[in-house]
Amino acid sequence: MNANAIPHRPTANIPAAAAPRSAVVSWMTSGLFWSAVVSVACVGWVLFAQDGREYYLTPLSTRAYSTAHPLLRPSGPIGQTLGVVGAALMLVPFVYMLRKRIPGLRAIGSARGWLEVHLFCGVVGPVLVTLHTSFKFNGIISAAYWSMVIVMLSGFVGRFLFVRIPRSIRGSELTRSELDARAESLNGEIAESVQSMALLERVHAFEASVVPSGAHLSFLDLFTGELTLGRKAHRFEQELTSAGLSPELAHAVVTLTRERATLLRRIAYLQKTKTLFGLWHVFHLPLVYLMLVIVAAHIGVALYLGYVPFRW
Amino acid sequence: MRGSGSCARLLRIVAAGLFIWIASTGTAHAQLGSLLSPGRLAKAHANLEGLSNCQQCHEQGQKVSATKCLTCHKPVAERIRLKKGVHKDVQGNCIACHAEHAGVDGELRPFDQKSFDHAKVTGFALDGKHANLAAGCAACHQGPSFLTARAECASCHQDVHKPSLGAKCDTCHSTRTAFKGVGTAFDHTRAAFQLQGAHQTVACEKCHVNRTFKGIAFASCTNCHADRHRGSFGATCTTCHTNESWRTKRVDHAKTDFALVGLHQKVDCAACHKQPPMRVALRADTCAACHVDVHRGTFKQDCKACHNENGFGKAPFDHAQTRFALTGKHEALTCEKCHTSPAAQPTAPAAKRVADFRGLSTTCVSCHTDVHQGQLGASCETCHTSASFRVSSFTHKSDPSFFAGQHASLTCEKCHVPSAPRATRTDLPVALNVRYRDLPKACASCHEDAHLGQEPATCETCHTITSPKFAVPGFSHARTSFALTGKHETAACAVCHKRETGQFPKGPGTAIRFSGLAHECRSCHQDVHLGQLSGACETCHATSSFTIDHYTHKDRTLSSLFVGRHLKATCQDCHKAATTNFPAGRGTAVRFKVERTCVSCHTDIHKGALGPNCATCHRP
Repeated sequence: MNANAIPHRPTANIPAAAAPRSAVVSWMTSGLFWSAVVSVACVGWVLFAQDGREYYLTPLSTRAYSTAHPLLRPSGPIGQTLGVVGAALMLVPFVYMLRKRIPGLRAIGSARGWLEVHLFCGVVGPVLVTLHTSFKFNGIISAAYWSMVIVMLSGFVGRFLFVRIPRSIRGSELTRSELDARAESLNGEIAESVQSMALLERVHAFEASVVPSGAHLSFLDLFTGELTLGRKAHRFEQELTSAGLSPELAHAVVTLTRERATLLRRIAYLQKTKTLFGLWHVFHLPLVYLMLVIVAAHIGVALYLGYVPFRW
Repeated sequence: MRGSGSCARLLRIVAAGLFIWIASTGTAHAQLGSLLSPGRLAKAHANLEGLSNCQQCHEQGQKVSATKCLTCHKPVAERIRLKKGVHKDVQGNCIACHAEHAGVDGELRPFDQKSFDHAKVTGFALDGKHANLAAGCAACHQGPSFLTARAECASCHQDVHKPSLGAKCDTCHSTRTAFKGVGTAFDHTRAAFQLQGAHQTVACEKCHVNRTFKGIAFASCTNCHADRHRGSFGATCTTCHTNESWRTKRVDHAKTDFALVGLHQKVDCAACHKQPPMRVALRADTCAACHVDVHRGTFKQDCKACHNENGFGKAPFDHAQTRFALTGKHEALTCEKCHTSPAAQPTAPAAKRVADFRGLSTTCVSCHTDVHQGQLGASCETCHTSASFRVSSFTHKSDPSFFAGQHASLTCEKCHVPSAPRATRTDLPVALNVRYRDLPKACASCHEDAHLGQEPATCETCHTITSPKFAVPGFSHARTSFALTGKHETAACAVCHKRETGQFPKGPGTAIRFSGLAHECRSCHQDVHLGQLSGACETCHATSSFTIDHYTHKDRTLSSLFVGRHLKATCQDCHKAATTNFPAGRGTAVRFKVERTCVSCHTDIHKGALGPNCATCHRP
């Protein structure tokens, strides 16, 4: 990718103009956002509309005689449907995997889009399956359940690492020279908006304090550094304002500085991130196969004994 | 993918780990069952755990069928068929009520014990002590099945009577009463021996020793009670005793020499029969056999003469048989009012003091104080009666003439007044200090002299006791030095005898003046002539009237004047009223000194032209 791909920011006087729209767009296309919305809706509906609170808090020994049992029991109309839909959703992420690996499937959409679908299903599916279990974790099927939970949690870690590998808008990784060019371009924008040597020196000093040098890379800093950067940037903006800089200019300068510092941090950690991400793939996938085998057995036994959907 | 090799390796590792996990814990077979099971079975179904047992309950494609359940639960199947008990309405869907795989402690038979209608569903009502048993259902249903409990009492309770009383416990027991309290609740009227009187309060064990309830002899009282008379009265206790109490007296005392009358009927037997009556016969001829003579032998006659059986104090003693019959106020008095002898028992309490009824005098003063201090002698009854001390009627027998007239209606106190003012001695009876004897009969001893000594004569001269308010009805003024004639006769006394304040013979005071009045006319009448005439009014006036009907001028020198027409002239023609200076002073009066000249009466029409001597020409 080259610098032309980045929207041009002519001056610091209108720095935030495009930000709200892009934020809304990123929310609307975020699988995680929608997974949260749907999960809260489903859990809320079961807990509050279907008396789930009282049902799940009743001890197992007498829960079968609770009024919500006929509907919410794992083999009941709601309970079993939650299990079936949850299991089906857990199959959808495989589409993303296939899309990535099979070039012939480009027609079904971008890998990036399927990643959002992957994230959505990977969160909503476990939530629905959790309700299906009615919090009863017995036998081997519980191994499938906990596998699913671990896969889901590892998914969050993977997502965390994934966003720290800079990519083009189509999803392909950027090369080192592309990244350096982007950093330099941001540096130029900062210099242009600051127009003061003293201020530019302060910006560079701040940058040096948040971007680790090659000798100080650590896994802890990889996972927490960007949060610390956010807090430090906020403090730096306050310092600039109190030093006499106009709030608008301070905000514009710090926004650019933060973007550049983040980029520099990711460049610094790029090799470590890629190594971890590779290891993560090995961890994320095999438990999924374990889960599939057990769930298949679980479904098989249920169907064999007559616990078939719509025969409640 | 680059990681696919390592991915397959990891998968293999995981699969191997899983296999080791399954194989290492217990037998693989049972473990596989528990791995596929959605949860442990309840304790009652513990023998059905394991993979090979799934189909003991589950049927392929049929979930859990009722047929499988009822294959084991045959008694329940029978009751469903008979439509009996809890399962009479079930439709064969066992798991609708009985849920499994809910853990070892899972509840298989849920129902609300509070709302469960034991009477309706089982036909055995849980009432009385069966209701609210502390242990709940388990108090009776101790086995795994609810169907083993029977409705018979003995299925839960132990028969402490060791079947001697048969199997029908409810003859004596009910669920309302605890076993401990059955004694008080048992209806003994169902037994052959009816409990009456004191038998009702006897504890069961007194008769039913060692919980023996059958074959207890009760035909005779002595079956239970010991005969304290040692058989001397035979076996029929009820001749004298009742069920109420051993103390109940049924003995007909009238059959003895001493019938019980009055208070004797209420006296406890033992009060008289200190020894068993059968052994010691009581002497009943005299009262003193039982009662103490509180009079200490002072009365020779029998107690009955004064007392009867209704109480010592309540004897209707006829006092008339003594020398002193009680009449009037004496009738209502209690004995002790007169018969007091506190000196005899000064230390005894008042209630126990016994009056001495002897030697009391019948004279009034033996009880009453003589407020007259002996002046009237000892015969009180001369004036007083027993009805009241107030003397209602008394006639002074001596000198009846004095106590007639106005004196007759006077109250005693009008004359018999206390000698000392009562205010000084209010504590004394009114009669005290009053003189009743030798009171003087002179009027002045009672009456005040209203005339303050003007009349030296005795009162009787004018007053009598027959006239009210000291009126003087027949007084003749002729007896005085000034006989009343003419108009004086009809004049009221007070016209001359006026009430005045001044000096009287007995001293200064206010009284009607009777003595010392002057006889002269002017002492009462006014001189209208203002001193023109002499003081001898009677020269012209009489007592009959002040008007002078006829007057003859006595002066001889006037004889020449009273001739002719002058003889027909009236007094007023010459004596005219005039206001001028009179001897008694200036005033208006008829002039009696008139000039003898003609012009003093007649008018000179000649106006002096013919001189003053009218007689020259005129004749009267």
